[in-house]
Amino acid sequence: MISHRPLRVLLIEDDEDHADLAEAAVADCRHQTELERATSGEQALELLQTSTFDLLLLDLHLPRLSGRELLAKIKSDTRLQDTPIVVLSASQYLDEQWRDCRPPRTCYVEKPITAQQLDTVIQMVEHFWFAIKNQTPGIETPS
Amino acid sequence: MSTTNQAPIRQTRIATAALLTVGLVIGLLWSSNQQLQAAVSNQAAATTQLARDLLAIERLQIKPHVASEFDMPQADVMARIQAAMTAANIPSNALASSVPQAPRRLNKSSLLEVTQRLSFENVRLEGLMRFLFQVTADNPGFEISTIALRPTTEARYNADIGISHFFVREDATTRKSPGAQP
Repeated sequence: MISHRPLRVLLIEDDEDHADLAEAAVADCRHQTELERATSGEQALELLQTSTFDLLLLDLHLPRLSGRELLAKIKSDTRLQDTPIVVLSASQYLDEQWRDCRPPRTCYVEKPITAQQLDTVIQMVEHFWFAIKNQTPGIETPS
Repeated sequence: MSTTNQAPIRQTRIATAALLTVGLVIGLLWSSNQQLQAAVSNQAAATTQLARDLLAIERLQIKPHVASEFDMPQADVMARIQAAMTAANIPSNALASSVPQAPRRLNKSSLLEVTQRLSFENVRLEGLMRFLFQVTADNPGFEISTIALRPTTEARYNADIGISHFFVREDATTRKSPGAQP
């Protein structure tokens, strides 16, 4: 389901140049975006406590609280765990540690990624995950 | 004589006119106040209705998990995945592996999630997107749980996709996944 109000995005990236590129890429593809930046995991957690976001763009390499630790904190918080996350990483995601602890509604994208590709990824995230909540299930009777 | 007689008459007329003016002003104010109250009341009703509509829309936007009463056989899961790949024009040899994961209970509920981990090699993002749309459109009980993309060339990716389906089981017993790797 595509939302028609501005997409509220939190970009968590400590490198200013990379943050500028990501912000420009999102702005180029999407005209209705409200983007906030956090330069550390701690700042991101503070913003997440006071504001609501539709999507998080997370860089894994953050100082002090790492991207992985932040991801684990977000996904263990019942208020935040349904928020889709796009993890942007320069390193390989396919190591075994990642394979075993991949939390739901998380999209890992290895850099480099073009603005158009990032837009396609965000479209996928919007379509598949924006409306899903961990609620009592509807029961499908087998035919 | 006439001058002295006219003074009280003038005063009476002035007093009457003043009274009429005051009455008119009060009447206008009362009328305006009534209209204002009616407008405020209408606005409040409209705002309340808007809030109700917004809540209803937000509720409609929430998509609960769709679960079956029984776990789906692995062959059935694979047949559905293959059908979606065919519809999305993804060749069968692009699917390098397909591994069912152990069921996972959702938040102490009666709901168990079974994820099938699919590894695609050298697929285009557009084709992958078509596949994901197709597999979820054809199977309302399927959800995309994770997406991992690694560029191989400019337009192609290796993609690890988690596709989950759900079933209801009250006890905490977990299914032994057929074909699951240790």
